[in-house]
Amino acid sequence: MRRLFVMKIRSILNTRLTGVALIITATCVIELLVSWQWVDPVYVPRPSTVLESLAATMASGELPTHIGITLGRAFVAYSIAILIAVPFGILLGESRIAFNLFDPLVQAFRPMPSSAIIPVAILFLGIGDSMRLFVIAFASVWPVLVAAMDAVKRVDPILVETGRMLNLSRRQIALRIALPAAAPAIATGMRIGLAIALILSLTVEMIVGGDGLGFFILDAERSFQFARMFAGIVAIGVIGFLANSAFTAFDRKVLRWHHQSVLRDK
Amino acid sequence: MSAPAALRLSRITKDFDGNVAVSGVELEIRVGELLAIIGRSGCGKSTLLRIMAGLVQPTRGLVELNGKPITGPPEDLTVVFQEYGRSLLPWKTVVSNVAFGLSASPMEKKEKLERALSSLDAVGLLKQAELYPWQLSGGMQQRVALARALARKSSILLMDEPFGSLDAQSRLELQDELLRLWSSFGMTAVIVTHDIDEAIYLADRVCVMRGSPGVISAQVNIELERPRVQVETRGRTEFSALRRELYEALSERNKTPLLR
Ligand SMILES: Nc1ncnc2c1ncn2[C@@H]1O[C@H](COP(=O)(O)OP(=O)(O)O)[C@@H](O)[C@H]1O
Ligand SMILES: [Mg+2]
Repeated sequence: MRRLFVMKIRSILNTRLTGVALIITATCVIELLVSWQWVDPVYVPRPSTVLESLAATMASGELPTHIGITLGRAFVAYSIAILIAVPFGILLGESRIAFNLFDPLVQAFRPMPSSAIIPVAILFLGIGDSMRLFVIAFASVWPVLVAAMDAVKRVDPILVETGRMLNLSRRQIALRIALPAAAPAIATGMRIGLAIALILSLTVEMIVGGDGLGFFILDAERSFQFARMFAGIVAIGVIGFLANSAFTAFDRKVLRWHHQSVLRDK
Repeated sequence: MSAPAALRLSRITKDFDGNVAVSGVELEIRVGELLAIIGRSGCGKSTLLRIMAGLVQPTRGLVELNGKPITGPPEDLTVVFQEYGRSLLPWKTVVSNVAFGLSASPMEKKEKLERALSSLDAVGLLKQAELYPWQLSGGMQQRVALARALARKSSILLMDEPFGSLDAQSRLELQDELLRLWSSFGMTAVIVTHDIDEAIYLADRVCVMRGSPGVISAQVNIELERPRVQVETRGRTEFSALRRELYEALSERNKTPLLR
């Protein structure tokens, strides 16, 4: 009986349910702390008030509009970043000449905090949409580019040799061997790039204002509407979670062979 | 004896930044011959095979295929790599991997698939055709690599320890399968192995390599009659004599006195 109970607990601990339970518990604890006035309710609104505010701003269409703007921008800029970073990264991984020419530049730009280029971008592009897109794309290009470059470099030389032995052309080796072999590592870079695109999208909105979820949050904070502010933050959390889940699902489907073979190697 | 040379290596040397893997090798492989190369690990067998395959450029010397110098991997030549598992594409099924061996051929897709399947049948892996390489044991992966090579029906087949991961029984079976294919297609084959008995059983001639720098230190002609039959051939007195001869050529006791 007791063994059965322990086994049951184990099997629950092995699911993602525990993560959800933790969030719910933490929320309830905060709710109690605030209602007992152990924390100042002016700065930390009750979770229930935050949820109410979230529901209200969602229903009025105000929050969805801002979310749409933020996601739209992040998506457009991210797509641009991918279209540049993947081919260019593959080229840098493939070609010694291109690598020698561009790698110092890549290494110089890569560690730069992306928010540092915002002033420069404003100087050249003003505060319109093109500046925002540029900043977001600029920030998310690097992880993808570096991942693609490393992934191509790390393709097993035996695989490339196999392609040569089978009389494939250089181009065929790149497309039919190197690219699929590098795909899992490129996907990891793309996932990081996606997170960065979302973060930068919010950061730009907070710094430059105008519209978007970042602006919504900052505006709520400045007008002391803290429940609204937290509602916006909760929305960010949900978006991040959904974006990552979508990417993971895609990744598992397309790169099934990789996950399975990695599991097997362990 | 007077058959023309399929592959001719002249004064082949390969120097990897001061580490001389192969030094001044002269070797002629006749059309239709089955040559075995034996030697301890690290003595330069794989490097020599890669040079024959046009995959590694020798530092000095010349490789000729049918009298013409080669500059890259020739079309009518196939290699089974020692690193057989890493030479399979993990994102393709077993049968697609085998058909991938025919990528550069103008054959119809359907025909490639049929060839792949019959080749898998020859190595006893028809049931595993739809699995992925990582779902197979090492020995099975090795057979997939072998099937991919056989599907190409090249006139020259170079194999680097192709039976190394097989269990004893499969090993004997595939040796016979190889001999069957070799004699029916009349191909030229080179097999690297460190199994002396395997070399004698399969080959027309055995080259013994010695390392640092890698040289061919002895050659022994195997004049056992064909077709060869596992138990019978191995039981012959000539077989044991050859085994002793190769064993002595291989062990460096006489040449490098360690204790004296
Ligand atoms: N690509 C390479 N780069 C540098 N050294 C190599 C390379 N390939 C082989 N070698 C060296 O050449 C020697 C012979 O190796 P190899 O041909 O693999 O021997 P074998 O197949 O007989 O075990 C070894 O000392 C090995 O370290
Ligand atoms: Mg070797």
